[in-house]
Amino acid sequence: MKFISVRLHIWRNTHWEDFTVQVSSEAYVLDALEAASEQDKSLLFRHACHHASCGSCGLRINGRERLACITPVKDVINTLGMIRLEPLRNFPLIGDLLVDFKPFMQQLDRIDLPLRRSAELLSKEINIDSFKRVFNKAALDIPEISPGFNRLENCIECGLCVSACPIAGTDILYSGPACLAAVGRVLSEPRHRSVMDIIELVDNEHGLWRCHAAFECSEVCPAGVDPAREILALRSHILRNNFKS
Amino acid sequence: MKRRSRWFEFHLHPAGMLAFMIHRLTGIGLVVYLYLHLWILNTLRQGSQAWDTFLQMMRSPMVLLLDAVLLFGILFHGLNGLRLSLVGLGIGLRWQKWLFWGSLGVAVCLTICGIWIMV
Ligand code: SF4
Ligand code: FES
Repeated sequence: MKFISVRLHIWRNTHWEDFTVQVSSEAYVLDALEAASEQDKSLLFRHACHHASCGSCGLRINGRERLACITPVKDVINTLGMIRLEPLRNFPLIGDLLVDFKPFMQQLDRIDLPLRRSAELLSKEINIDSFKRVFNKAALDIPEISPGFNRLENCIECGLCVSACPIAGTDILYSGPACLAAVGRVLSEPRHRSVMDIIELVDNEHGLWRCHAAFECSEVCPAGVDPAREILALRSHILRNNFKS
Repeated sequence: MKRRSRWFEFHLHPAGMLAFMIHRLTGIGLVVYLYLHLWILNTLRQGSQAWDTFLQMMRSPMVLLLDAVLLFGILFHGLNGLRLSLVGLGIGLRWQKWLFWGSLGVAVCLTICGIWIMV
């Protein structure tokens, strides 16, 4: 296996600090970061799954929001062998590369339904028509809807979209792309929830109408959620409804 | 909390952000121009002599260059405004990048035509 030397240029609250580590040429940024943390155990960062599933390792890598666990070192290392790492923007900073997700999760929590991740039992009372829009036919062909069927949700709550959004940086109360995309998701699969109640949460100047269509959220989203599209489609839905009534 | 507005940032896939930046820059420019325009109209009150001197000054190449910038600003802001209205209504979301490059292209071409006519 070929090894390469990487200099991680890391923002540490008040100053930049460099860590030089040896990693495999096939390593990911998170591997390099873990090697750096061997040199200094006080280095703060978050990770868990190592495969773009838990959404906890989001960073700004060379200024761009990415998941450290799926970003190959060789894709982002510059000619001087350096990679610049900074914490996500628009979140309270805990320290080093670690930000506080609590306000973000609280926002998402208000929308609730599309983000329930635990294996949920699908029962017959669920509106199968709305499911047809989400799941492919094959999934519906499972004879008895099996207990433990895991709803496959795209958003991994990584917060990259919030960090990339230029508006989240100017309006502290802005709901943010992930939260608004979640509302769009509820709309496409209401599951007996009152859609109007949920839309009301974001039908205001700090919600849906704050987006300025910079499309940065969709550029950085690692899960293909395309929040910008969801937000603007939701707007169009509300406008149409308002015209009708 | 590390919050700062980031109106100006360049990326590898820039369409949305570039549109966002130019739209704001041209918007601010047009507001400034509106006041400038009112101030210029004010010279009309100072008699025909003052107006003639002003018109003479307007023919300098430097001012013509500023006119070209103004023309581009109006064109791009208008066309991109149209694009934003469309995508804001959920229309053409899939082509938003092309709508941006189209607006930019048309604005640049018409500005060049404008310069052609002016000089
Ligand atoms: S919408 Fe995309 S970028 Fe935003 S939190 Fe969800 S997965 Fe991450
Ligand atoms: S470590 Fe889980 S998404 Fe990166």
